[in-house]
Amino acid sequence: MRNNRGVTPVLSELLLTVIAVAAMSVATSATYVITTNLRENMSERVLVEDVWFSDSPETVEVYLSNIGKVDLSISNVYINHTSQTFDPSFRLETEEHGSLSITYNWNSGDLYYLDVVTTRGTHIADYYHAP
Amino acid sequence: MQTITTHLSRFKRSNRGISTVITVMLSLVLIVIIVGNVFISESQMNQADWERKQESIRIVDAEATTENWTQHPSGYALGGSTSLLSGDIANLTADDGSYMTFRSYFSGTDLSDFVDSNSSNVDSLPNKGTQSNFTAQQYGPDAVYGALTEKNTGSDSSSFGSSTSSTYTTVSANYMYGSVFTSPADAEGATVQNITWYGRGNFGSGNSKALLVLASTREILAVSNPVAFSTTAQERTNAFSSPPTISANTAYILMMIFDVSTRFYYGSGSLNQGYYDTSNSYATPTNPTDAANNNNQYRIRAAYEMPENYELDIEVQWTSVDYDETNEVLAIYADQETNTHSLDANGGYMTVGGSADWGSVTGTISFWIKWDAVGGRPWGQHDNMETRISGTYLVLDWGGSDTLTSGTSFTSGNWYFIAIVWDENTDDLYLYVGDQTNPPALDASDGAWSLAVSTAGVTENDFMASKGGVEPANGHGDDLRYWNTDRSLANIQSDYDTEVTGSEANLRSYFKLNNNFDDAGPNNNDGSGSGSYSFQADTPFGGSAETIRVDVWTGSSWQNVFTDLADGWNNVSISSYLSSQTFTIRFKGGVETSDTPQDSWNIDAAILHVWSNEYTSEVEFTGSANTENWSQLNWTANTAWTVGSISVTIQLYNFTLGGYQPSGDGYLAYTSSSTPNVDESKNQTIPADATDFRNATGHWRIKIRGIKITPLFDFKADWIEFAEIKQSGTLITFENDGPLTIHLVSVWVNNPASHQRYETDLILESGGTLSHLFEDIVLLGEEWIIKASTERGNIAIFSNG
Repeated sequence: MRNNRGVTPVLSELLLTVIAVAAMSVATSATYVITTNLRENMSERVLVEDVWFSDSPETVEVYLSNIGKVDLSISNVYINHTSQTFDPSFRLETEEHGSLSITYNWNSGDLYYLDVVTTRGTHIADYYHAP
Repeated sequence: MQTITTHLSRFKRSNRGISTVITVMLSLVLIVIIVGNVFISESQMNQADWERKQESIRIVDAEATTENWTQHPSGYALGGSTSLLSGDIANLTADDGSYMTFRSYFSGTDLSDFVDSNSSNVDSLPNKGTQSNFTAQQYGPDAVYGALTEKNTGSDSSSFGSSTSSTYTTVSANYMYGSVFTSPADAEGATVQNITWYGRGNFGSGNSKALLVLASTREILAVSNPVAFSTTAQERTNAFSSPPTISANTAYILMMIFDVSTRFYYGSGSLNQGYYDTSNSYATPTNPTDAANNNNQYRIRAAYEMPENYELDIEVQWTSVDYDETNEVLAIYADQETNTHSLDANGGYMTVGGSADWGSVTGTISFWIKWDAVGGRPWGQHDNMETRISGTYLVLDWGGSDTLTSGTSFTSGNWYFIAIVWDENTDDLYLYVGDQTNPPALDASDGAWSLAVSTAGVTENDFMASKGGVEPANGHGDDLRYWNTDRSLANIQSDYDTEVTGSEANLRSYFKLNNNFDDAGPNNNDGSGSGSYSFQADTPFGGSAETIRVDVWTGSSWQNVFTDLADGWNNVSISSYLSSQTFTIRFKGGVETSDTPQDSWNIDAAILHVWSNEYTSEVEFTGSANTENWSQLNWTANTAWTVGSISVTIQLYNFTLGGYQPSGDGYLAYTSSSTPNVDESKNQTIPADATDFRNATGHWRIKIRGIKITPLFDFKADWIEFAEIKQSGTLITFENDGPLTIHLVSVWVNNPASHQRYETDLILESGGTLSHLFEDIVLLGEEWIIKASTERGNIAIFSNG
């Protein structure tokens, strides 16, 4: 305490260390967040196992199977480019499968373009003939 | 490079900042790890995508595995009155031409619906005529009838001419003045009763005559009786003693002639309406052929009376009619009188054959008579058994002279019914008299008649004269009857105005006098005519020469179906008119204008007879199967019919619904071959709910019914079979054409009615084929699709289409 020389270098060193830790923490976190989103987007795979145009009640039943590496949710469903209503709580964990019911007045024999969009923006789209 | 080396050396020499360096390095390592993880994930997904693309899975076959059973009927039950003709249940096991034959039964409708009401008025026109006993039409035929009688719709009075005036013409004596008028449309056949004119004597009283002159020829048709008049101007009426007959729509000149100077009033007329002849004679008026014209419409008019016209227009109606049968006939039983003629004697008479003696101890003699002039002796066989006119009264010499005198004073030109009833045992002698409008009633009687006719004997039995042609009664005589019993008044009233058959009890002789002298009674004393006589269609009852029409109401108009009703049944099809529960007809006289005779017709019964000649064969066959979980039922019926084009219905009993299947699976309706006795095989596959057609113990029922509007037919059953199928699973064969091992995670079975997912866990080696029995998969219907999903996200599809 009597000798005050050397206090400043210590403080400066300590300050530098704090700054370094803070900076690297920010960098590491940013990297993690960015790569995590990227990895999840890359790992999302959905299979449409079956589409059933049911007439009692008149719905389109889309059976989906999550064959990717991440859980998924559905953000939008389009039939012939028109947004349709569906159960927003529909969610599939990895290796899970289930039916997504869309209320829709379809016409027998017509061709429909069905587009299911996940919350990560993945489109699962194809044409289907109503029986 | 040197700079970097210098800095590193300096950094190495100094220990300051070592912790910072460590921190940065650790952070960099973390970042590298994180980033590296991304690359690893990408690599893995790329690997998965690549593998999915490499994967090749196919479904090469799918077939249901089944169990089958078949049965034939073990019993049968006959429906309705179907009967077994030949064969037995053992004949139904094969299509071998060995039949079980059943006979059909009559299942049609045959209704006789009597008329319900006589109060309808569908044409909004009033009835014309009377119906004496409508109830009689609602029963029978039972010889109880209702008489339809025409009503006189004529005899109305009217006039034509003028009733107004404003000034007068002074008409000298022996001048004939008048105006021309056209008779109305309803005046055809009318008779002018009188002519009324308006005027007064110019200087004093005088006399007038009215004249009816035919305008076209100026011929005087009639001259009225003279009528005196004074100097007071007023209307005066001159009547015709012999009213002239006029035509409708014809121009007549109504004229007056006076014996003094007269003021004859007139109003404004049309051009040349007035006629005047100044060279005529009041005493002997002559045709005013030289009459001149003026424009005066003299106040003169003719009153005319329209002729009698008898019409019949009576509605009757059915309600709640069965109107959808194959045959629909209107049947009317008419009891038409055959009293078509009477004996018209003009000095002549009829003699009863065989010297017939009607002097029995008890007896009744009756007849109808219409005198041309009241007189003569209507009937008699002996001085002490005859009838004769004294004055205008009828006297009976019955066992003696002047035994009984009528209370009725008879007049000419009217039909009278006369019945003489006697009983020597009780000393009773009665005289009953009636006419066309009044039934016979007691006219005179002697309850202490002590004489006898049974001992009087026969000089000659004559009608319209007495005992050998004495004092013929000129006129018409009809329906002479002799009964050897004293008939009661009620009995006489029951048949006095209708012909009887001649076979009635105690009726011995009966002369209808319909163009002959035949005796219709058991005595069979056919008569003969003497002197001047003829038979005329002038009868006191029935036997109208006029026809009676029957029309049906079509909803807007009347359509004739009978132009006349014959005696007995009159039948006509009215299918084209009978389209609702209400059916209306009307009886209409055949002659409705200028019909002076009043006619009547007897209707005994009016019926709508509706029927269909439908025959039905109905047989229920029963059998026993099992209680397995059938996935499909096939039934077959091989049958033939002995008549072509039978309407056949085959129905299975639906035990779930609790009745025979009304349509769809388990129901088949068709028309059999138009060629009789042709074997036809009908079958049906029921792919769903097959177990509805058996009960809890596995029993089933099938009903076969044939119907046709035809004569009798037979139903021939050759082969009836129930075949059930149960699916025990589905064998699906997969083939892996790719280089990778495949993991199947799900199988879908889709048909129009459902999409079903089945979890599975099958590993299929590269290049390998795998057949797997899915016991829980049942392929229903004729259309289905099988899909299999792999873990990597590929789908194989197989369909039976």
